[in-house]
Amino acid sequence: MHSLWQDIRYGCRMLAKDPGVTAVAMLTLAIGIGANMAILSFVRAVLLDPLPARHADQLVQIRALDKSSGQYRMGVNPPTLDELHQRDEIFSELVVFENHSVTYQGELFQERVWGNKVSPNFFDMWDIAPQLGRTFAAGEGQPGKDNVIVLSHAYWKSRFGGRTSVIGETIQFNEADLTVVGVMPPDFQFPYNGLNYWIAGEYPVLPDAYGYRDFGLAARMQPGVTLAQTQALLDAIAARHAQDHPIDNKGFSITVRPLRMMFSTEQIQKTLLSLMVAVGFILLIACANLANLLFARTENRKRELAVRSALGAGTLRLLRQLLTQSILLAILGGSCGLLVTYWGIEALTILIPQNIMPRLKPIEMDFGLLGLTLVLSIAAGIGFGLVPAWFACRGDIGNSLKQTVSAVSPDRMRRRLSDALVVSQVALAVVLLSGAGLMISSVVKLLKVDPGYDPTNLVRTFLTPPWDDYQDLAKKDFLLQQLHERWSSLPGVDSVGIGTSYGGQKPELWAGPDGTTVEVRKAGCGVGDENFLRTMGARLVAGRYLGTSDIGAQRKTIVINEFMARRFQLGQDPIGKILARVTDQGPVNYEVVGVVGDLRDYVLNQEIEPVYYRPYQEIPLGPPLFVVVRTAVKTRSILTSLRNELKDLEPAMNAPVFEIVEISLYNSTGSHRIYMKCMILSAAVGLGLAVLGIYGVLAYSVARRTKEMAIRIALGALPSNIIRNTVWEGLRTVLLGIALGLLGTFWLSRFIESLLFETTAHDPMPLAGAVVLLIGVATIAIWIPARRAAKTDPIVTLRYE
Amino acid sequence: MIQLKNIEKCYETRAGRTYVLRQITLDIEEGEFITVMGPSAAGKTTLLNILGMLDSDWTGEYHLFDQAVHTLKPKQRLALNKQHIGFVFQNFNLLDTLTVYENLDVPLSYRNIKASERAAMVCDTLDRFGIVGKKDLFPSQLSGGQQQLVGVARAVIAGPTLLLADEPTGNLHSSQGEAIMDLFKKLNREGTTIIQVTHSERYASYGKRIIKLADGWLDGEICLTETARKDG
Repeated sequence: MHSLWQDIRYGCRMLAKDPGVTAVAMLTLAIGIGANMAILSFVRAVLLDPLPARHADQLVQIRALDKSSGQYRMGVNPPTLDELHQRDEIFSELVVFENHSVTYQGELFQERVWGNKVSPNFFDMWDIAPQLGRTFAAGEGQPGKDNVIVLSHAYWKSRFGGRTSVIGETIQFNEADLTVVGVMPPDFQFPYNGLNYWIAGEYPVLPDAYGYRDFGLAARMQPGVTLAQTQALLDAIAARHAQDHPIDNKGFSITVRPLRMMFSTEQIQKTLLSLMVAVGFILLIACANLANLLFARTENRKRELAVRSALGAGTLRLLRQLLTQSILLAILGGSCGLLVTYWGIEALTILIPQNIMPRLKPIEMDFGLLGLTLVLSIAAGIGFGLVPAWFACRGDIGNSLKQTVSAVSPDRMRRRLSDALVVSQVALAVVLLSGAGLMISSVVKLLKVDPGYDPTNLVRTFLTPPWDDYQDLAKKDFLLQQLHERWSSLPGVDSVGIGTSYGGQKPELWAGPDGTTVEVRKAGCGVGDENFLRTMGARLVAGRYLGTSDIGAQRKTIVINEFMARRFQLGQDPIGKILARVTDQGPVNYEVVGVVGDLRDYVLNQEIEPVYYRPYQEIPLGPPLFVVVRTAVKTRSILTSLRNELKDLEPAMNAPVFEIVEISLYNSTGSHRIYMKCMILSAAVGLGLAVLGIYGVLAYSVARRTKEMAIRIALGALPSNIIRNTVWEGLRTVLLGIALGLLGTFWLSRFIESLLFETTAHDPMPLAGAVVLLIGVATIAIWIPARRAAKTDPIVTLRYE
Repeated sequence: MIQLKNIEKCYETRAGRTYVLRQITLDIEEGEFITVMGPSAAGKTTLLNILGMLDSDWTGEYHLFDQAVHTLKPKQRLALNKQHIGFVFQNFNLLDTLTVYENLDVPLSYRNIKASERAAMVCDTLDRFGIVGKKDLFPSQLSGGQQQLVGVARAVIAGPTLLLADEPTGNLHSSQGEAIMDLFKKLNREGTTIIQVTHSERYASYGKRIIKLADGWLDGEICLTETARKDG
């Protein structure tokens, strides 16, 4: 025990003796471990264990699948719910949630707020305490006691300014007066991000509502019950419903999946996986650096070890001493790694917002992670201490005793191993840099995407008038006409267009002249001055826009997008071609009168679908109604005027949200840009560590070969010869590393190809950029020791030797 | 005490086999003070390393106190080394980051001796060698002679019966060298067998016998009379 204490004391002294090397080693390890721990914490909170609940692995989500379209519904129908409530042997807890909204009179308009109506046991499922107040008490949610509301943190902050006295207050909504009983913590946002409140209520008894599948369902399986058993039960129910009530149930199945998967799309999984790989590479680079540093340090101590050996120390004793020192270094590095983890988590939380990667609980370090860090640190200490220690202890003691430190040259195997480590870290850095390069290229291409219109000085808003007052379509048309007139007459407004969106609508089946059938989307469009396509600046490829004469005309006309024309193979001259909408009553023919360019209305990487346009006047109430405004002035400056005109026209209108299209399109690239930033950060850290490694190994090599350099100079070598030889020595390993790195990139990049936009993993520009950057930075790292070698003074050096 | 029979050591090189020691056969009695001499590359240090069991790659027979070293496993050789041998180096080989006290403690720490006993032994040795005042100094704070004094103290602290010294005065000036040789003489008188390597005829005269090596071969032996030794 005493000797171990002595080893520890001696180890500390050796680390303090060489503070520069110790600091670099600690920093390297801290970055490697810290970056990994931070990402791991993130992955854990987002993917692996996102639910703030006890025995979260027993929680599942149950929802219907429309097998014909492959679309999942929000939940299941009431008869299924009733049946599942009977199955106590499978489920211990069932929680139902449903979209819900309430309205209240705001300053100008009626404000609509979205939340969830949930079963009274909703909060029992979670192991999370409200930030303020309480959740639902026993009995609340039953008829007569359903006037309580729990607020989300964001809504509490935005509407009530974070006022704690809100608890107990009764808020008047148009639908009901609700008493605030609690406020949830900021991260808790179930079932989706942006939710404002939860109110308790029993779901209605609707024994025949087979077609209504909007009751979201989360369940806790009984201990020991598996997903397969649950799925078998759901299959049986779905099959029975399909047989007994085929109209609403044929083609539907009911599926179960772990509840945690609600929050992790394939995109999120791939993004986090690739980030984990990236920081894993950083850890490997850090480890290679550490190994080389320990090699160098142990090499310098070869004589000391030989002396100790001559004084009676056995190999195991020497190994223990060296290992003690490595473990000490690793523990110090690991401790700093905890700091890096803490900062990393903070940075990631800021960098990756909730709406990109939702999580229900805060991302934090826990004791498990602390233990993992400690184990990782000690493992690194043992792993990277053992090899250099073994190399040091197997040397010829007599030889080491005779020679001076600077003359003891590393053996060939040790040197090859050291070079191999540099090659591997350069290769890993190339993969990271290439990944970052590909992401940059992808984001640049995404930002350069032509949306099919001019998004500058364009504002869009969706209108939600009190629909009950506008069941008469003529009244709706009059409202829109009035709105068009008022907004068009505002100073600074160039044009105003009206349309209805196809978002959320079921596609229609259409047939082409050759019988080809394609699922297409229907959008409403204003005619004449109200044409939103014209206001947006959409490109008219052929024919004409819809006109007043097309409204209600016998001969039905449509404008289609280019994609639809291609899908029906209408050729060079699609105008005048007849397409048919397939209905139960037979085909209805439409004549193509115009073709417009494909529009990316909402996101730049929007998937283009076949779309046709009809006058909005012919489209019944239902599809979302929007207005676009092209301004001649800065869009923000005109929003108040637009809002005031709307208020004058229809005070009962829900508060409009004005969306500046250019900003909205830019924001749609948010996840790509965030991922790009993460990759750039990883690549920068990886490159920094790799360059440190290249510099370290070469500087060490030069320092040990001072005598050789002095002799060469004494024999007539010019400084340029020394520099050339040294630079070549360093560049040789770098070039080999680059070659291996590029191979690795080709192999690995298929995993991130799906995260890229119109960029292939073999895109030469980003790869070339990565290589040039690495060679440039590496050359500087090599140049410094090379210059030092060239400046060796042979007289001083040889006299010293 | 020591019997060497046909000891040979060689290196395999591209040019073929290069011998460092050839057929060395030698007997050394307990209490002797032997000097190994010879030109550079004669194999002096190699012989010393073999005797000190720092080198295990050789052929022949080596008996130390009736123990057949050539048949022992590395662990057993290490145990024998710890029990009998102390080493003094030309370049002192003190551990730079340890104080004088800690340098003396190092060999004891490898010998399973209780900490309290070790402290007593170190203090006793410091006192015996007159370096108590230097105990907290680091090697870089000592003169060459003082460093070698510590080196000798470290070599004998565990009570070796055989002290091997490889050019112990090589890096010292004459007065420091003589002090070290006087110390060796005193240790020899107290019963320690000493084998030293030196180039100096004068320091060789402190011993009882000179063994000459040339090109790895034993090149003769000279037994020194008391007179010759006195004459130096």
